[in-house]
Amino acid sequence: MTFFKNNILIISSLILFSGCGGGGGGSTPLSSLIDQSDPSRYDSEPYFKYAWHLTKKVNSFSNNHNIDPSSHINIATAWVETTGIYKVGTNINQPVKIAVIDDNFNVNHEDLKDKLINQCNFENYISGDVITYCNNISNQDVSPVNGENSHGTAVASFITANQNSKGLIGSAPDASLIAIKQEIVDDIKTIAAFEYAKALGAKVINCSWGTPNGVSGAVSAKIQELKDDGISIVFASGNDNKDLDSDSIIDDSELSSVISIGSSNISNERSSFSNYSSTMEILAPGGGDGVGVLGAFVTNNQSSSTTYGENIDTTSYSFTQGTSFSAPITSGIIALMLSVNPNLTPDQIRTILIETADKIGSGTYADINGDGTTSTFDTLRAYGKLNAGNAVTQAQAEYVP
Amino acid sequence: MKKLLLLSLLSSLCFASDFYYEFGKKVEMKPKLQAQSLNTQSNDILEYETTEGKKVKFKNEIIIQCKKDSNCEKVFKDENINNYSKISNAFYLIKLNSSQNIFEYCQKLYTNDSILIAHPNFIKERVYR
Repeated sequence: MTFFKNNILIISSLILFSGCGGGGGGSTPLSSLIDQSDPSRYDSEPYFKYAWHLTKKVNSFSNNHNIDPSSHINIATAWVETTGIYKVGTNINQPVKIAVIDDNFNVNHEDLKDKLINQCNFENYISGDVITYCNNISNQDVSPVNGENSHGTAVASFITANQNSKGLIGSAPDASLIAIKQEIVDDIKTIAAFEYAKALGAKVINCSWGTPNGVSGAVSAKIQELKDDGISIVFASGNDNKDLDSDSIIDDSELSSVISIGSSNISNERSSFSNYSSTMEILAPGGGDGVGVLGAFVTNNQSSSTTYGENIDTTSYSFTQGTSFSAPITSGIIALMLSVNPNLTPDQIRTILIETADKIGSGTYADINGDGTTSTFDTLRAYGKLNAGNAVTQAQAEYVP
Repeated sequence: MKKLLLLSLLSSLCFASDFYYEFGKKVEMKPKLQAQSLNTQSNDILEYETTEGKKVKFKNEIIIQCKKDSNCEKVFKDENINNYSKISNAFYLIKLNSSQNIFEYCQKLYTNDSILIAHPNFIKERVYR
């Protein structure tokens, strides 16, 4: 009902804007026209009711999965302020740009197609200027090949799946997406993919992957360069229930220049599969130990889609689990933070995320810095679980025009 | 620091020479396992094992990170390196031919004051999480 009401508001507003002759060009962002204070507007999204990870308002499963009412990230409070469009600064009324580097993307998926602003496939990249390479239309196909699953489609959906009365909704539904396909991995392709994201103005880069034999010095240096340029790089910590400090391999998520994300579950605890380390920042919902998180899914084999008995479109959606999905949920929240305070540096974003996180589970959170002022840390749960509302509120409070 | 490395490099040249520097540390190779021509063009894949037992694969290419405000292209010219490409402000890719020893070039370039990183273009496994 609320969505219907909002639609009327949108239509009226558009008529009004048209009548005034516009001005400034481009369409008015949806988020500026609708009632931001009412998260129920997303009830029109058929699968929003399964988004236990976003808000306690929903969780309308057919079966009782004993979902802890605190297992969500308090998105409703964040969405009161922003859904991913800059509210201040030089890019006001423009969407925050988020790049996702992943295996492939179904660009025609109903929950992605309207959010894509750029795409590039680095499979054939050998060397040279990345913009020239990506401007070649033959290098712009980021789709899955021969019916392969699409991890990138799922990952991206947790960020930018938009309000379209179809499917689900991401954590930053009005942000825009730069989709970067990079399946064949040599270091120069990885560096070029990062460079492309930077060149196109991405403020957040999501990496739901890792390098088992260790990140290289050059890729590590490139990531540091991006951070120095004000770009937040988010990495998934991995799904092996492993202490990443315990071996000599330097995992991408262990770099001090990235924001490392583990997974929490429906019991509002760390997911049992989630890797941990002394360098991890926070947890965010990634499912496991019960019910997964619902994301966009692409497969030719519908039986591989997990439904938990719910009536969902198995050609396009599946419940899934992993830190791969905790990371993009967090990337979306970083985009929300930037939309209310574009001046935040990656270090400031990190500080806000850890200081506003909720201490969950039975961990022993300790004052590892010994100053009694900063957030406390638990070995398995890092600084706690993402609280989107608190993070966005704090980001906004720190804004200095 | 770099002078020490240069001395180390000179002395090590008398012994095993299959190594490069990464994260400021010398990474030495065991005697070569194999060189596979996985690609019939110019990008042969080389496979080695480090003395710490880690297998590494790379193309016959070197990634360079240039120090800020340094002129790495002059360094390349001085070293008679012509086949290089600029990837971004600080990063370059050097392509070697089969007669050029990648380790010698990595060592020589790494010890140059204008260069921060000079190691092979590794081929890595990626795991989606």
